[in-house]
Amino acid sequence: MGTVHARSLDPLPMQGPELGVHADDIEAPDIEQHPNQEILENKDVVVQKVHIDGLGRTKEDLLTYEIAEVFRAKNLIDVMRRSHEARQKLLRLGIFRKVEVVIDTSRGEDALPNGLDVTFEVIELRRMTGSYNTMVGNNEGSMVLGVKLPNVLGRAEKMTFQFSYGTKETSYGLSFFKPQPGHFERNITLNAYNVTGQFPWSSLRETDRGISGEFSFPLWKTSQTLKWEGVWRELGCLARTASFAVREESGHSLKSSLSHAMVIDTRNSSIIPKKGGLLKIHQELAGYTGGDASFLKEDFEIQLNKTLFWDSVLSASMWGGLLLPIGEKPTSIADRFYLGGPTSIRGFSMYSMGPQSEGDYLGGEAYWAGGLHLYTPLPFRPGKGGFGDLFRTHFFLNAGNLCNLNYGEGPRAHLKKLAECIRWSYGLGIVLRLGNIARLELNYCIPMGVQSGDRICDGFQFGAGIRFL
Amino acid sequence: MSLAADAFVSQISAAEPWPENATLYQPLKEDQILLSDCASSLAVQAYLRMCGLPVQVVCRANAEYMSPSGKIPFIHVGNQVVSELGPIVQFTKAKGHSLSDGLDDVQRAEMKAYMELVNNMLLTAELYIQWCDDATATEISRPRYSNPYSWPLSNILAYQKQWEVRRKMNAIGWGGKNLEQVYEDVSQCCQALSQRLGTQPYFFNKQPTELDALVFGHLFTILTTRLTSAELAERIKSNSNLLSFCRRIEQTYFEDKSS
Amino acid sequence: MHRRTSVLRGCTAAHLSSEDAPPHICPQRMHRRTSVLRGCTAAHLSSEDAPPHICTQRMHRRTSVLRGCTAAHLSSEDAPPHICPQRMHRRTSVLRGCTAAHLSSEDAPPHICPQRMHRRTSVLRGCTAAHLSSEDAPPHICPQRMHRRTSVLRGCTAAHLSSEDAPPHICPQMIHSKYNADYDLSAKEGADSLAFISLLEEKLMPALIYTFWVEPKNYVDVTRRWYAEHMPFPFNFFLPGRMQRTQLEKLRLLRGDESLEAGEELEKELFRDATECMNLLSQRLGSQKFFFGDSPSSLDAYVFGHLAPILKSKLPNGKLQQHLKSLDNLTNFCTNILLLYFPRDGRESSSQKTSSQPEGGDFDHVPNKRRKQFMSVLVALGAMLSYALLTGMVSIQHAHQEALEEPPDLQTLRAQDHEEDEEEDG
Repeated sequence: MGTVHARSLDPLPMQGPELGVHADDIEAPDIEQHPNQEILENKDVVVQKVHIDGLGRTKEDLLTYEIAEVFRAKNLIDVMRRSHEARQKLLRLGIFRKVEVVIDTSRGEDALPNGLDVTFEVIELRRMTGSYNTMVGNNEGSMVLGVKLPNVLGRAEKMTFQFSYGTKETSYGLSFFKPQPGHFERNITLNAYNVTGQFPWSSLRETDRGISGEFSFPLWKTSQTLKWEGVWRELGCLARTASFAVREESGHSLKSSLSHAMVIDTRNSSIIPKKGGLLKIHQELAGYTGGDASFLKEDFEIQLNKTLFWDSVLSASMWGGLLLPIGEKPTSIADRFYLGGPTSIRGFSMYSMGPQSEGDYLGGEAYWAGGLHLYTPLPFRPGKGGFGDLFRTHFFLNAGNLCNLNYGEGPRAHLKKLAECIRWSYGLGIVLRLGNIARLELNYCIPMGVQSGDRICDGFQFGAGIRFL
Repeated sequence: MSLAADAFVSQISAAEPWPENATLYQPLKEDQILLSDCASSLAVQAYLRMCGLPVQVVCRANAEYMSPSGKIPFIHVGNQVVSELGPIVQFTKAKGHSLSDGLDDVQRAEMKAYMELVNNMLLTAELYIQWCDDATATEISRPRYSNPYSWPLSNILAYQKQWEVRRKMNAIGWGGKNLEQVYEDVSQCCQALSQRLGTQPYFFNKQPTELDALVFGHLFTILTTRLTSAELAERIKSNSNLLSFCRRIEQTYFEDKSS
Repeated sequence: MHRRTSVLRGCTAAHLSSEDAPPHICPQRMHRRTSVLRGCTAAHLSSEDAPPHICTQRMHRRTSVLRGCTAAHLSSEDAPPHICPQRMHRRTSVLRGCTAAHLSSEDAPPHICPQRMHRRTSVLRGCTAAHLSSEDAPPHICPQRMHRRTSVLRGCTAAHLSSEDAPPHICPQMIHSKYNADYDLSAKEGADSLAFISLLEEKLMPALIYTFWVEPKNYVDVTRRWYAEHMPFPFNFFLPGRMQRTQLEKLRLLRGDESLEAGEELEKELFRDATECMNLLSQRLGSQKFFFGDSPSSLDAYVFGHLAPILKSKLPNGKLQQHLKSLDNLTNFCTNILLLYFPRDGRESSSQKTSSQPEGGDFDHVPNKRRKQFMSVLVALGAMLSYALLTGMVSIQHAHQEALEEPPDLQTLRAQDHEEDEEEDG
């Protein structure tokens, strides 16, 4: 029996676990059916040995979980399929640069006539990888240095350090990721960070120094995350002219919160999906584990996609959230919701709607926003099958509202308040997909239902982001 | 903000009369405020009372961070925020309230000089005793300063503040002093003030000025605040005219209004 | 005053002592009745590693007078004050009218002339050593001096002497002792002078730091050049920058603003304070000759010491100077003190200009020449070293390989070593 290389299988794109593996990119392997394979297919085989060549610092016990299935194969095709799956699992660990599978007949004294040996030839990632980026934002440039230590302890742990040095702000973060051997989706992440942000729409500067611990696990079709976070937040005015309402929020606070997130994602792509839906529910409870901020925050996101005629896609999404202060203390400006801008309700300036004081937006304790999109390929489809597929045209209709609720009034009054003074906008534009991470939009927007105090962006608006309404 | 805009704003604010809802912000009176902040705050209150300008005192745990200069106290008048006595004096002057109009040039120069004397020596000595004297820092300053915050933030902030003040003391040459030298400086300052005051009711004869407010703020606070050691107050008490000066201002401007 | 046996006059020798350096002036002086320190502008002329050159040489010449010394910035951490050693050899060399502004040095205890004390005619006078601030040198002017009845501190301009560890009060003891320049002052005047000194410290000092150290043009064109020219080669590259950072840090702490940067807004704020302070001083001075009538006091010295550098230094950004010049009585006050306590300064100012030109050339040349020589030697050395290293590395590797391949050689070598050791032992 000859050697069968599993090499012909599509190599997986290298992706870290944090990006997730997208259904888009992993197509079921098309195993070519050669004539002689048909004979082998029905022949019972036994996988006697599995070798893993090229291991350096990786501990073997981690890999035994990943390749266990290979031993259960009953025939050659089964061996190939399971080997391929094992290979995918190994790559998903994010510790190997390359994994190749070699299947051979067993040799040696105890070799059975129908025994097979499977060999995984792996090349580990380097002990340390670095990255360097420069970013240019509004009136600010920054340099991002990243250092990654994959597989730092030999069991697919990962240590990441990011340092961003900007013209205005400097931030850094350190994170440690550890999956449970054999259950990659069940993992723990620990973070420590110092992040400084400037929010010109609120004339606010915020410095967060915090630590957090996160536990993620799959449950049925959902992905669940439990998290504890302790943050020391320092708020300050961005300018001397900041409104007094923002000035009153200045100072230090300590937030310690427990949060839970649940995600069901059946979309084929997170950036420009063609089908499937998304449900995300996030809840945060602060104050019971210490700290001086106490609130309950509920937040949800729904998205449904349906492919219509001529490759056009109809997409509907809905966001909503509620922030309930616990105790006497009012909520902090840093915890409240913000709405508006090219990633949420288009046609308005970034986070520039709702409650405000002297031109500084203070955010609201309740919001909802909905969007209806019709994505179509570019007219006349230039660059089809290549570059042109990164682009879409879209027609959109966005609506939403952001306000503060008086909790004494009851749900009827709340609904009424959220239903009045609705801001909405419509328009059309071009969407560009940037890899599987972000997207850019250039839209012509017509804002409607503008309330006094809102800042609008009538006409062309450019947006970039990860999460879009 | 450019200076032109600054001038424009102050012109506008000059046109506006003193509003009824003017507010003075300071740290929490019972649990948080420290000697030096309390003194500065009392000085501003005394000044505004001498001018006859009503102000409502509001205590906020984050007053220090709300203040545009990071210093206590500050007042919020209309849509203006002004911190510290010096700028507040200028601000009220723009609105037509001044205590030093009756002084001639030499007296005004002397008044300014004595105000700087108080800031330079008394205030610095207060800061020194609060943060550089280990007993006071441990027993009073750090626990009070961090009172509104929860652990571990409270410790971080208190030590951060202490470190900052100590660095400042080193920069101005007080880092090498010991407590006795600081008390000696306070004595010297008080003697100078006592000499200047002499037998007059106020520093510049019959009418109080911002200098009187400032001196009152500091001396009264030192006299009425309990510290680990009463030495600081004792140094003031050795000047009897300063004691009667404090009593006089307290009676004239504080007692009748509170009762 | 001159009739009294020893006269300390116009002594601005502020900062004469430092933490590590006991104030040398007086201990010795105490033993001589008639010794007079006069015209000594040698503020801060010495540095830790540099023995005070001025005086050692001077001691050998009777008539040499230190005069007109504009030796600004004469001290540096490790830099012996170059100006004077050379000058000492010229008879006519005069160190005088030393406006030694900004003489601050980081670690240099200013022993002024311990040796000088032994000379009868040595006179410390009219010293305007303004801005002598140094980090480690507390400016106790002569605590010992206080014990002498006849010592008179007059025209003391020891302004701005503040240093990090050093409280900038001239002679805390002085205030209590009767034997000082403020002898004639009433208690109230003494209080006034304390108050005005505080005013200067709070209002003018930050602006002075800003003008000389933070304002970019002034710093690059004047302050850094002063220092760089009078420091030996490796230090002149980084010491001025380090001193600037220290001063900027100090300004930040004084203002209580972490993110303070040189800029128009800060400049406006500081200069507003400074001009206000000058106006107040001008109003206080009025038409008097000195702040308290006709005789000088420590306050006069203090004010002079702060203002003279502003008035006399030629800075690209001269806003403070402009304002000071518009205040006639303060300008007169400064020139008056210069004339009174630096008498030869005024007369020779014109001749100095002509004579100082070649002299200055001399000064500039010598260090430059040295620096160039040093640099060329350094470059040559570096080239040789790198070449040696490059070839050396190859040979080292080679030798190493050989050693690995042929251990017996090593053994023999070791054996030789042992022999040598034994020889040495023997």
